[in-house]
Amino acid sequence: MLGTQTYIKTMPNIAYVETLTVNNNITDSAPAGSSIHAGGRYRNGVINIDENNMTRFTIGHAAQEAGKSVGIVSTARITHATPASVYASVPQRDMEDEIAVQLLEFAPEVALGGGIRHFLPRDNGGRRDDGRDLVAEFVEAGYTFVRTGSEFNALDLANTERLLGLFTGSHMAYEIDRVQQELDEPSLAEMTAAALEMLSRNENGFFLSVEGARIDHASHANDAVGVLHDQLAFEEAVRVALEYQAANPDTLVIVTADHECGGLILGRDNIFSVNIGHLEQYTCSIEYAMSQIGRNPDNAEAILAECGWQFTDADQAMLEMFAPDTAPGATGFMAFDAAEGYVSNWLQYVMSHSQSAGAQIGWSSWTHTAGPVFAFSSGPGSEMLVGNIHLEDIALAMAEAMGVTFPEPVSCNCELPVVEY
Amino acid sequence: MSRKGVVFVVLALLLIVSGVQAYDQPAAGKARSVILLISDGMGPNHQYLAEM
Repeated sequence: MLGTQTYIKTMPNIAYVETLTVNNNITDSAPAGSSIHAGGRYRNGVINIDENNMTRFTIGHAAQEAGKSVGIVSTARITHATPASVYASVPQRDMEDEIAVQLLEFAPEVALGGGIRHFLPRDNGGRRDDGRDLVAEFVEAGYTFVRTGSEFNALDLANTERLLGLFTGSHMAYEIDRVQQELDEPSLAEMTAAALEMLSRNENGFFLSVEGARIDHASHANDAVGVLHDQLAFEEAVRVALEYQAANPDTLVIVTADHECGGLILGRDNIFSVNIGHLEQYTCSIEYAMSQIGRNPDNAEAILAECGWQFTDADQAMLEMFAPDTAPGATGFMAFDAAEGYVSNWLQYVMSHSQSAGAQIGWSSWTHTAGPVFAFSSGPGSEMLVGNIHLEDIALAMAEAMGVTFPEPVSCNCELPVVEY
Repeated sequence: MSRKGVVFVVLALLLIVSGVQAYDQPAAGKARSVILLISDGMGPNHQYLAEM
């Protein structure tokens, strides 16, 4: 029922947060993450390089200069835009091989997430063209490296000085798939708890950035079930953070978002209610179901049924209306490109429609929107994060609260790209 | 006004001013640590969804 108490809602200070970039009213994660971690405003696609071609240093750098430890946790590739904005500066967010090198140079005490492909050369299962094995270089630099949830669970954290965990080639799994398929990956909350155990040993304190990344990805796919389960997993990470704060009251905890995605609305058509219970029947993310169908298209109907989809007559008509020559088999659906961008084919579109219509949930977009987000906070300094603010104010408040100073910007010696979105 | 009265008024003013300053004072350096949690893509309705 709407109004159930969540951990986020227990936090006393709330700000209404604008997410505008320097020149666009819809941000991507690169300038948004940069604003959150370094202050200032940036253009889409750019991480921590401002309009004067100056590299801006982040709250992570400021914390390091003050003798604090730094941790980065994400369910995305650890080189993806949001986690990268803690430690990297690049003119284009897709320079993830370079970003991985910058992670090594930044040397955080803890880095946990996905994306090992940007740390290994092509002849060793990665995508790096320079032949470098960054995992080996991290180990040489004193890091303990873990590749699976099992290895992660076996860690002796009390005797681990620096930790790198890269659990997947690309992003980590959606939470519903991690649980249902019993994948060997840690949860966001488990990674957060491990990071806190390690970082809290520094008597000077620490900065920890935790990203629940796949809420965004599920929203791009208009996958309400994916959103729901990853949002609940994020809530668990918030619980871990607040429990740490309860035992360590000199900790500022901030919960926010970098932007809205999908234009998600609870309610649709001409109905005065939502039916979230409809989502309980699903056991897979849309991405997982699509990957299974992709491997075995002749078995599409069984896979859909196993994952919980029960197409109504209207859903079936929608499928056949746009792919009439493929009915009743599903093979042809996979070849029918009905929409561009984040929707790979018409079947995926109908899967999203069926799921969301059943739950009476609406979507306005397959990507980010200009809608505002909130920042919830508690602890020392949280009183600065109230009222109407911009993402960049979060960086300034964190620095003020910890009494640290951002290092002076330096020229990036680079050209900023012309971004078309 | 007597000397005691003047002292009383001055002390009262000092108390008020210091109180206002203390209220306005940001918590500079009071947080030893910061935990920042970002739910990428979370608008208000994503959050409400998790409350249902």
